[in-house]
Amino acid sequence: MLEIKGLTKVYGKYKAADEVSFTVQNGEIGILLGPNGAGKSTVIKSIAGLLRYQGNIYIKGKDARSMEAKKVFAYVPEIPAMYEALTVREHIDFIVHAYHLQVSEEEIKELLERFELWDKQDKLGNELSKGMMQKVSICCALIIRPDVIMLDEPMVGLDPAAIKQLKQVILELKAAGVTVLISTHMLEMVKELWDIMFVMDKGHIIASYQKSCFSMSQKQRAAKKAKSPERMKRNEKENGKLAGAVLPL
Amino acid sequence: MKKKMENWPVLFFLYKKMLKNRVKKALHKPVTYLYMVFVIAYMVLIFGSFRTIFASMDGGESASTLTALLTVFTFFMIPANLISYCKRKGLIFRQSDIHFLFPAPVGPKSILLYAHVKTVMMELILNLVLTVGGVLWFHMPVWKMLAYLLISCVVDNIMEASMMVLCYGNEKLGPKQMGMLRLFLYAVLGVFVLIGVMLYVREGAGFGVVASYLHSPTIQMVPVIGWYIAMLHLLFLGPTVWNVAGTALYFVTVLILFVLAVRMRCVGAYYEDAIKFADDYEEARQRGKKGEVAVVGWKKKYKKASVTYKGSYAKALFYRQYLEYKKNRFFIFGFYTLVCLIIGIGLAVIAYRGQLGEMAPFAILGVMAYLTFIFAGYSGKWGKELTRPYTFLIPDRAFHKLWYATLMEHIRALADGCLITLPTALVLGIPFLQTVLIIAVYICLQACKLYAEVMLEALLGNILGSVGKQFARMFFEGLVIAFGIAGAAVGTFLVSLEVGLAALIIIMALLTAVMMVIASLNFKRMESVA
Repeated sequence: MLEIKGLTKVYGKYKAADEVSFTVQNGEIGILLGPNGAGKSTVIKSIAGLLRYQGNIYIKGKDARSMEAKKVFAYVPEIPAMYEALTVREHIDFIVHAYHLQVSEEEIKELLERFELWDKQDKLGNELSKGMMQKVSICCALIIRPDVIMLDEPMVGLDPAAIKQLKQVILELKAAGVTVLISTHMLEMVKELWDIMFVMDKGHIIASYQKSCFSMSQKQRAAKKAKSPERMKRNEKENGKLAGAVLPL
Repeated sequence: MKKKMENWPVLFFLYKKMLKNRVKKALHKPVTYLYMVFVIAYMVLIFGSFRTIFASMDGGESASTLTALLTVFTFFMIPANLISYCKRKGLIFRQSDIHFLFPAPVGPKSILLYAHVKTVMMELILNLVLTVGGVLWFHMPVWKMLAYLLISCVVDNIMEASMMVLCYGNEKLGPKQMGMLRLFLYAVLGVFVLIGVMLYVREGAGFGVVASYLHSPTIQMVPVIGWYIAMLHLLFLGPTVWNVAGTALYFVTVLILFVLAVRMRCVGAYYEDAIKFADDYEEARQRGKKGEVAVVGWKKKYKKASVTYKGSYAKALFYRQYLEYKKNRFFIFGFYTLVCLIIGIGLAVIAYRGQLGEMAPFAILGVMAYLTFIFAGYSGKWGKELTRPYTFLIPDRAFHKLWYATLMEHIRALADGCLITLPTALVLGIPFLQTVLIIAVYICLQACKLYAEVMLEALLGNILGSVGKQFARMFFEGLVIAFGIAGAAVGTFLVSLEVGLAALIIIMALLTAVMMVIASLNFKRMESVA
């Protein structure tokens, strides 16, 4: 389970995240949706422990900054950054060491083959294309076998086959009871995945939708509303008050 | 403590793999062996020349000189590091560290030490050289130099690492308290300066004053840095009340700082500052790679400006560059302009004192050649043009693109040439034609350097690396200058200085034009020939 309680992040006088609170349960796929500059990345980086913040973040009930929480948490950043002098395989080996994992050779092979990296495992970090880097980043996150995984714009830069594979993996993670949080501004990419959706704007969660509370037609309407630019604009004007199917946070 | 030690195998794994892969990659490049020959030859030369310098010293004198040298070394190394740690800067984290290491269950303090170890490599090598040098050049007993190596590499690193962890990793002190700590360190540096000024006022300038400054007991009583210097004096020059007290204080300080650093709680609040620094560092690194002056954290500010495009196709490159320069605070002028101005004024002052006489034009030309040959000067915008696909899409000839992409550099060379030449020309009343020709020579010299660089970029790409390309550039530049000088000498001796200068300009211009033709390959497609 991933719990965010009263997360506030201030840069100088600017509040990038203001009292943000939400929860994603075990086996649920949460979507953090919003336009550019809404504060999604700030929330994501805070959860990953990369920023100082006020409020509380719990991963499986443990403070996100504790070692116990970090051991069960995986993060795929929006822009992958490889160690230039490490090969694909050495990145995986590093993660295995860093998280003190017991992983068999077969598991590594299966994962790398799944993302078409098996034949590229000896390539150095600075020899990879952006899409390949993203695949390595995803493999490094999956090898952890996390209880909570967070993916920031994970489909960007991936080819259609890899996107399909990633979606499949996410559904498998959900089935295994893993908590998944995906940050994106493209609803189409995650429309078949989500269980709960949080819409962010100007540092606030302005709406949240629970898939299980909707009938199929409502889901489609809500998804349409959430992604329509007019709707987003109107939401800004209404300062966080979204008419229609809004659930209390 | 056990938990913290558990982090080290993974960090050691990182060092080991990265080092192994880098060495493997380097050994595949032939240029590595060339560099190795250069470095070994350089080391042998340095070793030989230093031995000659220090050979005449007796035991006591050489110990004193070595202590003074190590004291100077201390001034350079320790204070700057401590101040940067207080600002939560100085440790280099890469984007990959942020991606993989920060979110991992690796202790934030271990991550700090991981970054610290990366920065001490150069210090370790220097200390090793000093240790060997101490025995061979200064005839110090081996045990003393080994003790120095142990203290400088182990004890001093424990002290520095502890200070680094306490400054970087502390999560209790606010920005105000950290600011006060920085002020304290600046005050410590101020004390060193003050002691120097007092000695200068009391005893005047000279080598004796420098020696008494470096061996002064007051210096040895300055907290932390001074105490380390006291330890060096105790080791090499024998005990005095001051250096024994300073050494004791140094070891007690190291112990206290170490205990404090181990006990301090750190959950990684510094990550945010480290990310900011990593971003700035990456940006500066990328700019540095393109040959620009890059200072970490320095953001360029632009003014509002506009230009009217008086031409199409490749000419648009020139006008776009012109617009960019107009947006700069100092237009096309920069640090190098200042260097040229200072040199110009300096030459004029020497000329005014009557020290140049009729040799003034040659002196100016000599300085110009030296500047062109040795100084990197401006990086220019042509390099950037090569990274932009639209440069290659413009429907014009490659030669035109090269010319307009580099035209602004010739205008800058004209400005700099004027700054170097005009002050002396005015003071000595050098004839107008000669003055114009000297400025034209400077423009040719700069053009030769520029096109040699572009040509090598086209021919070699990344084969030789930046240092190798620099040497190759100097070779071609030297060749053109040598031909030019030969022509100039003939012209000057047979006819007049003006004809000699004209010959120099013509020969250099012709040879530079050949380089230009080859260099234009760069603007044909987005890859080098190699």
